[in-house]
This record gives sequence, C-alpha cells and structure tokens, in this order.
Amino acid sequence: MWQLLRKELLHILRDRGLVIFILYAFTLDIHLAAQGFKLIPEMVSISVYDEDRSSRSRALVEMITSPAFRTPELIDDRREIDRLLNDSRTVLTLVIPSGFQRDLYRGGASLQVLVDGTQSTAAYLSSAYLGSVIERYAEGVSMQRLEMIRGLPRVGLEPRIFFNPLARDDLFEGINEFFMVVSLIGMILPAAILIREKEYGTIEQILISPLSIRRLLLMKMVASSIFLLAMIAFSYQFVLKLWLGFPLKGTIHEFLLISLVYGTATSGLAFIIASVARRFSQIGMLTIAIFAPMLLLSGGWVPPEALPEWLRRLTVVSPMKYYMDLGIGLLIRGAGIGLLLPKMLRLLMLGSILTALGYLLYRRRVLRME
Amino acid sequence: MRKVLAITAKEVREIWRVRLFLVLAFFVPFTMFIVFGYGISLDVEHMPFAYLDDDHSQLSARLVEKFKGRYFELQGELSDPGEADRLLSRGALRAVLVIPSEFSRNIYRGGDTEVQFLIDGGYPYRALTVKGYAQAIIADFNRELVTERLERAGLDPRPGRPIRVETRYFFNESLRSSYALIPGLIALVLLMNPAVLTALAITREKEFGTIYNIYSSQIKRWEFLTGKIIPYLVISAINFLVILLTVRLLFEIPMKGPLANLIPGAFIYVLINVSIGLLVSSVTRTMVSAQIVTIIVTVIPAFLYSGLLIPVANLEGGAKVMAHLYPTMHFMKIIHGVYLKDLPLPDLLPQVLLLVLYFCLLFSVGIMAFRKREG
Repeated sequence: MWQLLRKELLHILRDRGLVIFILYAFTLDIHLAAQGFKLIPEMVSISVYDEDRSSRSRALVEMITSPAFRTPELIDDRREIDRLLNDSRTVLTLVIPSGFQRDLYRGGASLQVLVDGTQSTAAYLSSAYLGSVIERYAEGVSMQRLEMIRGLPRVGLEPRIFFNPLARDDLFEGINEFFMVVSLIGMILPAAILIREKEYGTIEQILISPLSIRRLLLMKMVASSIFLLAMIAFSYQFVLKLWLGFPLKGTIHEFLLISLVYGTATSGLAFIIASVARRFSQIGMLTIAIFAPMLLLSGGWVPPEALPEWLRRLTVVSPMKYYMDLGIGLLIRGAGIGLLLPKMLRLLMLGSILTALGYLLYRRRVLRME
Repeated sequence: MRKVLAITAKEVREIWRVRLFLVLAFFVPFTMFIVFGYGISLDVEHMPFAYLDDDHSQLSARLVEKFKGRYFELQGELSDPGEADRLLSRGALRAVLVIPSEFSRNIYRGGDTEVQFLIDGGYPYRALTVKGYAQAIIADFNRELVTERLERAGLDPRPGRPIRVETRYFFNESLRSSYALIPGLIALVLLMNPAVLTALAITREKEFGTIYNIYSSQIKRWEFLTGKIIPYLVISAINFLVILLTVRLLFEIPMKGPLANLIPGAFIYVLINVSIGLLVSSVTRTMVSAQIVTIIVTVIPAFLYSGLLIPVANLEGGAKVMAHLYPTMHFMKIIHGVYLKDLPLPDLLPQVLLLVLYFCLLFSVGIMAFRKREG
C-alpha cells in the first residue's frame, strides 16, 4: 500500500513540467489576477476644456484629485476633444462652458461630461466619481447662497457594503482565481496520472500483475489529493494570506475539508477526461472544454442575475458553483461549517455520481474490463 | 510552392484524422467566447432590491418610488432587519434601503436625516456601481426637496440646484458594456486559438519524431512553416466568421462601420498570433509545455494590457509601455473603431500598418528560430 502511494507521489514530483505549471498557477498566477484584473477604475485619466477660465471654474478643477483621478490634462482647443475621444486617450472630458461663473451665481449653470463609451469598464464608475465631485462642489455653492435660509432638509445616504466593506477588487479577483486554479489543477493532475500508464504502456503490465487495479486507482487518487491539498494549504497561507494580505475568515482545516469534498467531483471529471483523451497532450484542451462552461455556471465571474433564465437553471449541475458558494461562504462571509453542511452534502452527492460515472467509463474505455 | 501545398495537404489530413483535435479547434474558441461574453457583462441593471420602511409616510413612499426603474427591480417590502441580512447573504437581494422611523418628521422640520443603504459586497464592481446609482438618486431627491421648500417659502428656487450636468456617452450612447466588451473579445479568441494550435502543430512533429523527416528533406524552412500554418489560418478564418455571427445574432450587437474595415486588421492579427505560436514551438519540445507557454504568454497580456478591461489611458509607466508593445491593443483599437466609432479607413491605417510591421518581425524571427539542426 505505502509502496504504491510512494510510487505515485514520486511520479507526480518527477514530472517537472507539470510541477512547475502547478506551482506557477498556485502562486504567481493568483497574484497576477488579484493585482491585474482591475474592474474598478483608479487614477482615471481626465481632460478638462475650461472655456470659462474663472476662479470658480478653477476651484472646481482643483477638486478633481487622486486617488480617483489623475491630474487633469487641460486642453485649449475644442477640436482636441474629438481627437482625444477617437484615440481613446482619455476616459472623461469635462467641458466648462464660458459664462459658468456668471450662471453659477444666478443659479442654472451647466457642465458637460463627455465619456468614452468604448472604455466600458471604466465609463460608468468614472463618470459617477466625477458626478460626486461636482455634487460636492454644487452643495458648497448652495450652502453659501442659502446660508440665510434656515432649516433646509437634507437626506444623507449611509451606504454599507456587506462582507467586503471596502469593495476590494483584488480580494474578489484573487479568491476567484484561486478557486479556478483549484478546479483546473484538480482535473488536470488526476487526469495526467490516470493517462500516464496508458501512454507509457505500463497499464498492460499492471493488468496482468497480481496488483488489484482498484487499489492502484485508489492510491493514484489519494496521491493526487495529497499533493493538491498540500498546494491549497500552501497557497492559502503564503499567497492569499501573507503575500496578498487577504482578511480571510474560517480556519484552514475547514477549507481543506470543503476542498476534499470538491475533490470527489473534480476527480470524477478527471476520470472522464482520461477516458476520452487519447494522449497526454489532449488533456489540456479537454480540460478547457469542460472548464469553460463550468466557470460560466459557477457564479464566480458571472452573477446569476446576469445569465439568461435557462442557463441559470443549469447551475445546479456545476460542481464549481457549490465549491464557490461554500468557499466564499467560509472565507469571505464567515459562515460556520454547520451552516454550510447541507450544501456540502449536496456537493458530495454530485461528486459521487461523477466519480461513479467516470470510473465506469474509464473501466470500459481504458481497462477494457467487461 | 508545390512543396508548401504538399505540407498543407499533409497537415489537413492529420488534423482531419484526429477528430478530437478538430472539435477542439472549433469548440473551444466558441465556448470561450460564449462564456466570456456572458461573463464579463458589466451592465448593472435590474438589481434585485427591497426596502425596509419604518416611517410609512408619503415621503418615504416617494423615495422608494424613485428607486424603481432600469437599475433596480423592486422585490417588495421587508418587515425586519434580520430578513434583510438573510436575503443579502443568500444573494437573493443585492441591495436594501432602510428608512428610519423619524424620516419624514426630520425632513418637515428641515433637518438632516440619514437613510441606510445595505449592499451585497459579493461582486465589488457591482457593489460600487449600485452605490453610485443610489447616491445619484438621493442627490436628485435632495434637490427636489430643497426646490419645493424654497418655492413654498416664496423664494427663488434656482440656487437650490446651481449646476446642471449633462453627461454624454460617446460611441456607446446607452452605455451597454457588452457593446464594447463583446467585440473586444474577438481579439482575445483570435489571439489564443491560432497561437496554441500552431505551437501544437510543430511540437507534435517533434514529439512524434516525424520532424526528422523534415530535417533530412530538401524543403526549406519557410516552405515548411508556411505550409504548416495555412490550415490554421483557414480554421481561424472560420472561427472569425462564426464569432462575427455570434456577436450579431446571439448578443445582438450592431456594427457601426463596414465589415470590410475590420477584415484586413483581423487577417494580419491572426498571422501575428500564428507567428507567436511558431516562436513558442521553437523553444519548447513537448506539446504540453508548448500549450502552457503559449497560454501564459498570450492570455495575461491580453487581459491586462489590451484595453479590454482596463483603459490604456488609465495605465501608467511600464504598464503603458507594455500595452503599446503588444499587438492586441492595436487590434482592439481597430475593433472599437469599426464596431463603435465608425472611423474611416484612413484613421485605422496606422494600426493596420503597425500590425503588418509586427507580423514581418515575428514571422522572420520565427523562421530563424526554427532550426533544422538540433543542439
């Protein structure tokens, strides 16, 4: 038994290409995703065409500051605006028409905000940032003008963002990427182990040897699970917590338990992949083919309400959906394991079905045992 | 030329015989396109929303009324705060407005009053957008209140709203993120797929050892490589057409400019990516490593420096330089130029010429890097 386990673990470690890829995925890749995928704009580039050139308009421009905005680029030519927009060289352009200061004192000044709609991720939030700057400025003006009138009503908004109070983009993207990596490697690694004997032709040796094939397969799965869980623990401690500094809730043991349950589903899929693929090199493409729809239905990148109705119904068969719900429930929302138990059981059930299916397929197509 | 075609014929037969490869060559890019097409839609609309009204006044009802519309979809009134927490945790609601019991009294008295707005932080971008909507709605509500107040006092109401802001979204008037993102994805799919397939095609010969036939034959390097890549150009052309149709029919996104302006750029762009695949295959030995290296060198720059998600205008320093060095950003400009801006051909020409330059460079390096001798 131990000999077998040792053999399989050694096999994994000796495949240098695979190990390097796994290490890369669990460290640098997660870090890149967390730091790189920024949907929430920072340091928005803005240009200002100030036709008024008054002290009031300058006061407004001075309120456009970092971290939300870069230093505004001032332009003096109206035609320059078109050029900037056509080249997508700026996200926002603020036009302060002449007579702004005069109209401001009378009430009824106007401003134009021109937004490059091709920069779709940044367009709305950037214009909302600018909107709130203008709002603050306008409020200051009203206050000055209406000082003498007492008792004006004002409703304040106290927004409270749950679970991720600072709306940290890196936390969301990093955790998402982490789940994606676990899912991908969770399929590729066992599939690679399962197909290796077939590719090297050693499977025939094993079939005629007194070794129980079931025990061998079990040990293969145990070996890949040990390796995977070790990588998850490593990445959780050193990449997510230490390197990226994520404030994670729940304990690592609880998270590993959830990952282990998820492992039943991914190894089931690995069995299916290993039965269909003819060669090692096809595993990569097959994994992507299974992974892409799973990701769509996981609720990670795509919130359910953004999906068409028929796709939303299909999410019940995506194991990744359960894993993400459980993982986010534990790590971000801080739900106890007791609360997550029903969902874990459902994932276990789905995983068992997939494993059984995969095993049967593998038996028929690879072992040819009828 | 005959030699080139012979290689092409051989390659086609090889592709045809490995059915799985064929399926993957067409199926993978298409599913990826669909996944990301739905996936990175950033339109935040119809957010499930509910409210908790402890005030039950005409004013509180008026505030709730203001939230209805394209952005929020009212799910109903909640009775206790615990329910709000539960529904937000489950993801059944994305936002809850909490109106305190003193709400209307404070307003009639002419003082400050606070309403709470609870937002699900599960998707940070959406959370901030929802917060932005709420702030705009409340600001509008405040202006109405002040104007009414001033009018009732018989004063000039205009200072109550000193500035009118007119926001215009250029090229994408209704600001549908999908109008910009989904055509942008064409650049992503046409980047990865041709590169991976080409890299696999060459490393396959290396792995099977059939490359030695090539090494020992009279065929020239460029003839072999050209013949090798022709089938992948055809595959990419078919994928390109399928994706154009998907954009038009499934995602219902119109193209403002003529298709003819897009095609030259797309063609050269695919050639560039095929050359990237060639380059990768000359530094890797096995199909697996070729696949991994290609994905790493193509996907990361495509997401981070292409202008697809992060506007290049917002990048700084090294990142900005990187963005200009990768061909994807230039092709993205062509895509947006055709799909959204309807730029005339002369305005797109600099980008096309740049891409041609890239291709010449990468393809010659690719040929040079491919050696008929090992070691």
